[in-house]
Amino acid sequence: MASVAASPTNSHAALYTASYNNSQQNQIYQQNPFQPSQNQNPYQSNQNFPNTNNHLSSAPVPKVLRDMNHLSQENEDLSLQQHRYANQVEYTSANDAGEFRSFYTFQNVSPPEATSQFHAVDQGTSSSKFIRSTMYYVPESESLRAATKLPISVTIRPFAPLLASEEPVPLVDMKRDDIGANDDPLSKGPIRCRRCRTYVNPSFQFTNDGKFMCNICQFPNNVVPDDYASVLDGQGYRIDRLSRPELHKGVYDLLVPDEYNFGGPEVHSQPLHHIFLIDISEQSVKQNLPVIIADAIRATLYTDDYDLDNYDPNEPETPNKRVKQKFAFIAFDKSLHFFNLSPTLESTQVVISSDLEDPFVPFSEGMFVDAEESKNVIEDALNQLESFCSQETVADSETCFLAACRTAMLCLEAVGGGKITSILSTLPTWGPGALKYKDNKNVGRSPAPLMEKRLYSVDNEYIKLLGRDFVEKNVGLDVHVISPTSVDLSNIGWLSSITGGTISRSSNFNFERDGRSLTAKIINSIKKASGYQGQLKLRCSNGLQVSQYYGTSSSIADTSVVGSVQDPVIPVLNEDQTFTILLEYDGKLSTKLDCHFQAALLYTDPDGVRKVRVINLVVAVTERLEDAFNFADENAIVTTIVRDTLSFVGKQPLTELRESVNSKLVEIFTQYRAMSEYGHNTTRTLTNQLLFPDSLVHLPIYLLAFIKSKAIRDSTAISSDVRLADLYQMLSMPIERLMYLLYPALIELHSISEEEAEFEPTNGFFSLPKSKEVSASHLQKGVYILCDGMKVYVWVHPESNMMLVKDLFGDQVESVEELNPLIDELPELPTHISEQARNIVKYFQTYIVGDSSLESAGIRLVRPGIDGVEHEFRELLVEDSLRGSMATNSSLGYPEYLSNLHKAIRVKLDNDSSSNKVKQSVTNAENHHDTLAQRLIHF
Amino acid sequence: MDFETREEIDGVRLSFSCIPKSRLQHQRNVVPLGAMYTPLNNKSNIQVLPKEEMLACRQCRAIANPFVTVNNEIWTCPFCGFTNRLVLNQIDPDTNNYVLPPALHETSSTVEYQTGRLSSLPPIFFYVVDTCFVADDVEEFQSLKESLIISLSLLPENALVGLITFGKHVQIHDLLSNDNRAYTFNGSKEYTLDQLSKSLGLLAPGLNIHHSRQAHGSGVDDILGTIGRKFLQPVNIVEYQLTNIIENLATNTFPHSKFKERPERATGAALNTASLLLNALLGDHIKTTGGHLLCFIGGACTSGYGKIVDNLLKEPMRSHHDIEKAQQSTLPSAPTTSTKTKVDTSLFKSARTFYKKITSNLVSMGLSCNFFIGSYDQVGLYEMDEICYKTGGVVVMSDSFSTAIFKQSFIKFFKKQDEDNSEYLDMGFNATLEVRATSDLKVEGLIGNATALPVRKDNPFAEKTVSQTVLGEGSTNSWKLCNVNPQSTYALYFEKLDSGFTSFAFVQFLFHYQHASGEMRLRVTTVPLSIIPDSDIVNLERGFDQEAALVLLARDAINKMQPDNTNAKNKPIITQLAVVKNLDKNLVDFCTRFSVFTPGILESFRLSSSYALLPQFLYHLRRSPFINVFNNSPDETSFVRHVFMHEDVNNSLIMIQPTLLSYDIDTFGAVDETTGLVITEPEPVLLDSLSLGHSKILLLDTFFHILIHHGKKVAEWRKAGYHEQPEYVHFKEFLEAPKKEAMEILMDRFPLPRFIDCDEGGSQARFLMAKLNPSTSYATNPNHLFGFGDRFDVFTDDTSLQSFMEHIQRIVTAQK
Repeated sequence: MASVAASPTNSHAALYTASYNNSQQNQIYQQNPFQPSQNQNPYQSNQNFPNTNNHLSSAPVPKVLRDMNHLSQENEDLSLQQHRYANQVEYTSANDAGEFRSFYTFQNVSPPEATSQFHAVDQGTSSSKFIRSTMYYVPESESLRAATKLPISVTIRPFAPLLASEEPVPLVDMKRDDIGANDDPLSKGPIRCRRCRTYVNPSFQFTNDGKFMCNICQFPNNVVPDDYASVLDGQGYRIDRLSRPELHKGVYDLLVPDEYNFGGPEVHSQPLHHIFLIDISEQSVKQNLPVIIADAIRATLYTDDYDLDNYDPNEPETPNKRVKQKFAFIAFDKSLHFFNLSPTLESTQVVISSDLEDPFVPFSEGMFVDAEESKNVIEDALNQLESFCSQETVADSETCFLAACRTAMLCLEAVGGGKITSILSTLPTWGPGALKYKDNKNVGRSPAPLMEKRLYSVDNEYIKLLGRDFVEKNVGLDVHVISPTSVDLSNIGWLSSITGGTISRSSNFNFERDGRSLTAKIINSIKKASGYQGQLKLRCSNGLQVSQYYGTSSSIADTSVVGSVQDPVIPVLNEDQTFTILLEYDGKLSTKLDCHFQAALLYTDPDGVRKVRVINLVVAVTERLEDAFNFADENAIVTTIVRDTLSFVGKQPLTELRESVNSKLVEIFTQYRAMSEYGHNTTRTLTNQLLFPDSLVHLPIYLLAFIKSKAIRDSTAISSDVRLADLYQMLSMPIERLMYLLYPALIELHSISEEEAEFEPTNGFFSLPKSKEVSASHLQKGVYILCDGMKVYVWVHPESNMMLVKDLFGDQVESVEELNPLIDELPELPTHISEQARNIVKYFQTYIVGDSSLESAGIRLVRPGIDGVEHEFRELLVEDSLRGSMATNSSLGYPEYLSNLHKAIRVKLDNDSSSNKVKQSVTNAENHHDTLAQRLIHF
Repeated sequence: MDFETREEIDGVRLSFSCIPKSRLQHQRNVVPLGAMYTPLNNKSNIQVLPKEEMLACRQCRAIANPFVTVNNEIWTCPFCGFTNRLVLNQIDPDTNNYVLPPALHETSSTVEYQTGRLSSLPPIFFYVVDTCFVADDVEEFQSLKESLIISLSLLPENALVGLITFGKHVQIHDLLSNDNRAYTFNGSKEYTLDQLSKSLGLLAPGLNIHHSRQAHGSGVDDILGTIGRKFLQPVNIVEYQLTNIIENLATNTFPHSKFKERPERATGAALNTASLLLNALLGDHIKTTGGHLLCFIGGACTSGYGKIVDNLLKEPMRSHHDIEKAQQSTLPSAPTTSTKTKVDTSLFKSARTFYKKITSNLVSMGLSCNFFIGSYDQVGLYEMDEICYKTGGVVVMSDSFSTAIFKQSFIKFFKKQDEDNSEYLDMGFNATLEVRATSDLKVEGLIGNATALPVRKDNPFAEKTVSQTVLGEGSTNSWKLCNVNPQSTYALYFEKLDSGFTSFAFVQFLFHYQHASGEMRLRVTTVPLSIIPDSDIVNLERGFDQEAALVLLARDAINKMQPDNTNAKNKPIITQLAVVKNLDKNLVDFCTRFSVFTPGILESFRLSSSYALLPQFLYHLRRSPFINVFNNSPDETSFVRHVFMHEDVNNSLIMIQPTLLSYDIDTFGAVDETTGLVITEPEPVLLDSLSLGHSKILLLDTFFHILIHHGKKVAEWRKAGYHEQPEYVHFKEFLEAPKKEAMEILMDRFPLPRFIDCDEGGSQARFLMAKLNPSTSYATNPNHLFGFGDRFDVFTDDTSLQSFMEHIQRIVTAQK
């Protein structure tokens, strides 16, 4: 639901609300799946919710842009920053009584903007933090869907972080060990539908005769086991439902019996094992990386109450019996250096192996150790690691990274898999699977399609095999590339991506400036790991089926790992992973029922406990095109289009991909316009107006930004590694980060008010000031903070007010030129503006970039005309057209882009044949229930 | 000169010191002509002469000796008959005669010459240590580490040390890095020399740059090169680091089910890596030094090449039976319905082949490989024994590394020379033995811990001394002896041809070795053999050494039973039965030849005392664990055979026929009537069940075991605690006397024997009972079922010595 309208300051919205209420509101209510009459939601009947009528009534109407000639970023309706701000304020500002608005998952239909912070109340269907659908009114049939040209997909983030004030994800013991061994194995563990294996969820309909009906497949004859039976109350609900989270929550973890273990009931699930794979080649030593890694490992293992974080006091184990995550170190250059960390040793032992053809695990005891038990030995090992930097001997210039990966895999194989966190400083050219620079003969030109295919796709057989083994053995790989030159991410990135790992890349590494960010990334690799041995399965109502997974092993084509629509295996899981799943129709949805989704992620948590995370989503089914449009979710749609497009990199030339993004946009808008003209607002059609679907107002700017993103931008200056690093990150990053990556936040420091940029003490909400539009024309001579989801930039104009500069950087600064270009944080000063600025950075680092350990550090200083990074900063101003070598003709400014879009729609509608097709598709979708006679009237 | 005196002076014992002139007459003597040679024999002081005193025949390079004829500044070589000039320039002031060079002195039958050459490298002591110790054995591992650290202080200061540890994989430790680094190699893979040197960064042999630098300094570092220095360093430099490394050694066991699997242990790969590493390190200097590979093995090799058994416990370790069966069966075995897991017989064949390769590499470097075994179960010595056989390494077999047997034997391994607090280890490195003989004798071969070297082509006289008949390590007159200690004894067999008109034949042993001081020395022993007329039986008997003869026969018999000696040359398999049969036939022939009897009359059979003991020895040899493998594991058999092949005649005799001493309470402490002395010395008694007695303490010495056996009465008294009461001091002394004696034996024996203290009827007493001649077995006692009388029956079906002899006599006398 377009939340622009919810903002009381928006006069348009108020106007539209009134008219909308008359015509459509009733119908909406009828369609609302959460009405008590449908007996779907147990809460409606016995819970009193605050009146959210105001919110619900703010239904969308077509937005009309009056004059194409005065199109500009200042237009409030089109401003994405305004939209984000308004949406944010709605949830993060308290009302007069000091209460904050919550998002109720059943009552409030469309989720808040992805970038918003909000407090969600789980009412039996999951909040958008965990699962976000592209449509909250799902078209009942393919033809209706086709008329919207919008994809149906869900984007799941299984381990989304929750606010401290929100209820944690409940853990339900579903081991049901007391079931006799002779029983049917299918009846062991969680209650599931016998036909489609859906896990028990709030939408199961229990009957009085000990059976239940599955909400996904409608199979009515499931038998409730005796130990789970319960009496129903007067309204047909189980009386124990409120004591059982799996019967009233949208998201919950189920403890499962040993039969669900990876490798069968005989295999004992182990706590998560980590391997640090550290590059100690010449290039790495030159950049002092071993020192940083050692620091990062120390920080990960020994600072703060890391171990306590993992410790769930509700678990039945006593603290001293608690199993812990284990760690191992392997360093590599031309050979592999294993560290024996056994707590029985006084100091570590380094074991060097140079047999790369037949890698093997040199020892077992002392390979993986508990961080506390082996503290001294680990410390010794880290010291040795640091000493690599001070050694006089010449380090090897080549590395055997891939053989190292294989060896690490062998180490992890014995413990059921685990996570490799690797540092790579140079192209691995030694040993088996050695990579070569992919020579790009098209430097300075756009590569030919064939060349692109070669540049962007996996072509190393060793890596392909390694990838298969990694997935099979549940080994995940995080790669942190710190290299000024290419390391061939088309191969290495692929490997990391299919195993659920993350990729980070830094080409212009400076020890002083970037050390801290790298440390934070490594800490994240360990701390954000939320499990391993994952298997994801999405189940959905009859009529839909899974068509494609993005961001997992099964989405990467050209791997024989698993087929493209098989349920993905995700070797390692982390908090930031999101999976987009595209759906297709294999039948028709019933409008009498809702559309149910259940994403079940079977995984082993870091402590070695086997669980299933169940995420349920209930959305309505509609037979009306408007509903489909009006309840579409912009963020999810952008995510889906981005990921779908990216999955074709390497198969199709980038030019085609960019074109297809454009034509997709034109299609959607054309369909919408056609719908508006035909069904309801025929009178209002004005050819010089661009009609925006209210829920998709910002689709053009997002897609424009996407076309300009490094991953697919039309530019000859971007190396394939840069493209691929972004590409692989975009495939799995959280939606809000993707939104920021496409369209950054830009905070103007000199104009923020006193009260802004503060953390709310009670619930941690941050009052983020309103961003400026990301365009050079908005940059004044002042200081700005920009966050693009990956980095935080502080832009200081050389002619900024010196008072402001002094307040931010300290009194000793006399001019902007004096500032140390290598600072990575704003100094802690007693001024209010300094605190605000640092708060803003901290908020970005923690919630958007996801490097919470950085606090308010890790910034990049940008001074136009002084710092080289200005160039990079300019590229982020997506509303501007890019100049020079940054891009070529396709990088239009926003206004031009919109007018081009408008033209394209007009051309499409005016062209007879295509216009007819469009019209017909809309008509068909609208009227396919009608009689032949009625249909003829339309023609 | 009697046999013992010659042995003391020359370290040689001959089966016949007088031999008939003709070849045919000699062949009738049944017992082979041979010598038991102990090159580093330390029973008497050997003169050490400077290089200048060495006189070699200009034609055949034999060394002048006291037995050459000197005539007018000319000496004639007895081996080739060439006349050499003798330069005499010293005049004895007393007699006014020229002084003969010391080499020609009567006492110089054995002399040692300094060659003036020094070894370019000090000896190498390379440790190969098993780290597969599972949870409970950690103490054992600790004890092993302690022993290793102690041993470092026992090494000569300049000795080169290196360390390899292994579990499932092999780790070569870097001694120069303070970080405790090690290079690891896959235990399941067989590396080549090239692969190994490449992965360590060593240059391939032949490419060594230090070769050119050798001119101005061939120090250790120069020879090894910068990278090689990491792995081999003088102990005085790296003692601290090495101690640290050893103290910090972690076990290398991979998780395995204790009840289902053995730990994975790549002994074979470790040995291979060690030998290749040394080969790579020494490079061109391969022959420059001797040394030892010290292997510490805690269990069976279950992984990689050279594995002897699968790591699943359900698969049993091979037994003698399996080995024999595998050698016989050429047909595919019929399907069996038995559910018992079969032994994989292919394993020991391939393992033996694998170890053979390692052996030849080690021999070429002149390094010996020693096994120190601490395991209750077999470790695969049977497969590996070739390494220690051929390189002269020692084997110490103990149940665990925390036993005294291991600890003390290991320390004893580094025994110093006796004389004046010598710093030198009592061993010779990297030795070669060359044998020269007069033309009527030819060398058939050598049986002992040595490897045959190819015949030297530059000396035609060397070739002439080689016989066509091959026995043991044959077809040559020179052998590589990688490790020689004062006990090392080698059996040499000669073929006797018709002699000319000489009264003596000569054998010269040229023993060239690296003294512990690093000096290369040559020890020359020349032994004369009298040629007697064919009819001279008196001298023949006088010159017959039945003990030496027995050992020569025994070594031959045992050698025939070594698996490779039969398989390699496609000879028919020689089974235990065949060997025993052959021994019996020899005995019958021997008795026929030397006994005096009237045909047909059993009682008339007589053997003179010079011959009389041999039948009894042979009886015990037949029952000994060397021939009779029943009830022994292949490893034990390998072990005892290996030790047997190393020891001198006296010790060999003890092994074949253990000594039994008796202390009787009735006579102990009594005053001898004739001498007036108090009898505290034990009485040697027959190894016979008749020697048992309730009031006796018996002390059995089988070389491998020292056993004290208390008679029933003695044990009762001891249990009653009489010896603790002051009035029974006498009894206390009686109890302690055998222990003192046993300790004395234990003192200088290597490897340390197992000490057993037992009481009559106790379970440990079986070790004694099994050795005794069952002259009173239940088979000979019809009343045994009734527990009749006070007899000491041995429960065995074996024949007693008496009935064995009776049988032999019957066969001999029945002949016509």
